[in-house]
Amino acid sequence: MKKLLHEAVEYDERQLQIRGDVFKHGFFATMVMLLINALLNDYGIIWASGFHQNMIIIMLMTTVISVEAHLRGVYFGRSKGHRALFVLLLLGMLAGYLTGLVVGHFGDGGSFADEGMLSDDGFTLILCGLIAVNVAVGLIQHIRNRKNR
Amino acid sequence: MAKNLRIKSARAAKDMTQKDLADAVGAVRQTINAIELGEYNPSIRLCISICKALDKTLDELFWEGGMNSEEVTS
Repeated sequence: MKKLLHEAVEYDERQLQIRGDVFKHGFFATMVMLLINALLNDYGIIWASGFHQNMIIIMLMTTVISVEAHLRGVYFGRSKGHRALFVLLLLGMLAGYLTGLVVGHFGDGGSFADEGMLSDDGFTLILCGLIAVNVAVGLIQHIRNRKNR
Repeated sequence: MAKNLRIKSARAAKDMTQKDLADAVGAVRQTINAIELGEYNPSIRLCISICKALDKTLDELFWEGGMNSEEVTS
């Protein structure tokens, strides 16, 4: 409870409203993506394995939320700035490492898709791309936060 | 929503920047900017904080059309 109260004073009322809007849009974007995916599967278009499909939808939703949040001026809480930067850098390094691995596999004859379905390497590459977008947005936001303080 | 020039002039009269006012009322500069531009409708709690920070009444800063409280209640 103490933590919740502490977090509440981190953001002003307009910020809370913007965050609510952004998460609402993220929720509807997820619904639309799940619906489209379900229809594709129903019509026999299986573009990836179940795990890959769901992970990509989750990451796509996270990216939509991150980008919209950034565009609408969402900021990190004062006490969370360094923690957010640490997580962002960790994710960025992970994405860079995995991209390097996948590119290496492509060099050894690996492919983006196998028999019309996304391969493991293709999935990893898409995941890294989405993580990279999130990291880039987060870093820009972190720099903007520092300028505004 | 129309621009709120009364907050801007009251703030200027007290020689406060948007950041100063934001810090005084526990908001961020962007929120004060949005209120002055008429892009955000603040809660009554924030309106009261702004009035206290600028030494003005709610009527002076937020009532539209220049009516005073007697005219409203009558």
